[in-house]
Amino acid sequence: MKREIPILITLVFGVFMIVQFFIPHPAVNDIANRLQNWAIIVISFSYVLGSANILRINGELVYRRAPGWPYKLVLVIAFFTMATPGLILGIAEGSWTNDRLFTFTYVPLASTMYASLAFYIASAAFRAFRVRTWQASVLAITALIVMLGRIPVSHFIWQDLPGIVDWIMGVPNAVAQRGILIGAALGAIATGLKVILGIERSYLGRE
Amino acid sequence: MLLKSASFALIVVALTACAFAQNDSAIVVLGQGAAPTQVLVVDPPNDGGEKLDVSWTPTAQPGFDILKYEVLAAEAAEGPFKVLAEGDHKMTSSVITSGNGLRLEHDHPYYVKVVAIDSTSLAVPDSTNPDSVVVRFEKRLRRSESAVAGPFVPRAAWFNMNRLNILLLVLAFYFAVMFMVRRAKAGANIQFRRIAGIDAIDEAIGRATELGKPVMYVPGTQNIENIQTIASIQLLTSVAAKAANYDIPIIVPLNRAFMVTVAEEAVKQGFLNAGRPDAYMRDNIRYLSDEQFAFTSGTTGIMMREKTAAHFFLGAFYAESLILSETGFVAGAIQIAGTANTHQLPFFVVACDYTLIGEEYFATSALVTRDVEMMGTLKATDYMKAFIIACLLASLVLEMLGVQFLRSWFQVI
Repeated sequence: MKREIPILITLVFGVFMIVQFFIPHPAVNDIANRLQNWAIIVISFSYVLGSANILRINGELVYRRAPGWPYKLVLVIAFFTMATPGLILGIAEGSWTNDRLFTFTYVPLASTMYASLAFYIASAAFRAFRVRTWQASVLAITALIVMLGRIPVSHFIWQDLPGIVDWIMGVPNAVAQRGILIGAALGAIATGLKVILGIERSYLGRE
Repeated sequence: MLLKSASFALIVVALTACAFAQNDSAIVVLGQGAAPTQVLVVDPPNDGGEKLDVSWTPTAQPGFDILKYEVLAAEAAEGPFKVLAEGDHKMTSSVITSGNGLRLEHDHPYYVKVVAIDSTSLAVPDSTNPDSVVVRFEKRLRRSESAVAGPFVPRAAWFNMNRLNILLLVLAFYFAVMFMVRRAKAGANIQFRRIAGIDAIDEAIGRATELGKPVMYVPGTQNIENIQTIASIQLLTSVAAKAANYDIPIIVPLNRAFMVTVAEEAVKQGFLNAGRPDAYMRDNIRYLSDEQFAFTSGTTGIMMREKTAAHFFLGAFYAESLILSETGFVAGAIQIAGTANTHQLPFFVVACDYTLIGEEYFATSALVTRDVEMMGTLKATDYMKAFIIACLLASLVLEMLGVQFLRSWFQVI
């Protein structure tokens, strides 16, 4: 019964959520919205578990002076620095917590991290475009054409270049992407059916 | 006399010019002038009764400079009417839904009218000098209202016929899955091509074992409601079991707090399946942050500090994909990635040793576990894919022959 009841719950609610997609009547949609709100409530409780996980793991490592413990200490201090004012002063837009800690401190750090992506792209592209096989040659030539066609003065190089780039992006590239998407969509549906029908039960944990 | 007439004309011209620069209060005209005629309200099918299709015929009378139309609705014929839609002078129909304080619900009567707003010039006597013959021309907005139409009662549908095609395909897929699962259980020989990325899972874990370093498994950056995350968690159990077999730790950094319990259970299950529940280390299931780049930063930090030797990036990834995989490359780890997010695939292909693309990613769980029922499901997916390819080819031929029914049947509204 320990496994049958969760499988039954998954089956009932899974089938209901599929069925509601086909029924626009508010009587059904209201229940579906309510179920989704339940999910949000359950997920919001998980932040308590997440916080406990952070403090337990990192606090213990700091206490034991494990290798790299200063990093863990920084994490724990940052955790309390963000959480305490947030709990006391609130996190509404314009509040001290939101402005000083999030917008003026975290957001620039995240933007810096995001900006570093440009360098990662450069190093990855360098490796990808090394001509070793004929496939790599096709990739390198295609990439070169697309890059040249995307620059503002591309039509000065060759007036047909932007059109060729549009064709590469709109035909071979789009065809490949759609092929992948069709396969992935079927895989996603199959995964959903496996869970709903109880074929896949690993999410239930121990047998 | 001539001078007086000229002055009068000049003043009129000047005031007219000024008046057109103004935007004064509106004049309301009912059922005449620019008012739209033949207001037609239709309850659109296949919805929840929260919409009404309104169309109208613009006035046939010439000489109106119509600026815009407003569609108003009320629960009673006498009002109060609320503006639910508006558009420029070219608009002749609109779909109205709840808004502006009025909620459109099924089985409730509503009244509708359409207002045409045009600009007109009015001659106004000069109030500062009652004896003067000078008049001012003021520009006014004129609202010409149609007759109130109604009552109209929107009805909620119990089935969206526009989605019948999806229902039929889902049912076909369901029966294909059930049929193939039954065949697989009956012992049918189900074969699949080898996928290098799946074969490499053992290689990656083996290499980590040789180096005596941990394995890192990142189950994407989305929550459990994402189907890619669910697929990743299925695979996490198998990877954890293999890691347990080789007796090496597996680190799982998490981007969602909710995933902590799920990942703990999955890894614990893997260690249990391998007969090594004692080797399970709860502290290696690490929630880092819900914030995308804070998580990325934390994960790359773990890679560099703990020198993880094998990385699995399996799940839904976004901009962090290349940062993670390039850092892993720099750290010298063997890397296997899999995602259905097509925009991230090139990054993984470039930076990782093996990449599971789209459907391969969803097939991994079945191919790793070799579970009979899951293999049956996978075979059904293959047959469905063959059916879709056949439909695409048939559609291509039919399109060239000028027949469009297959394409229109597959359209989703």
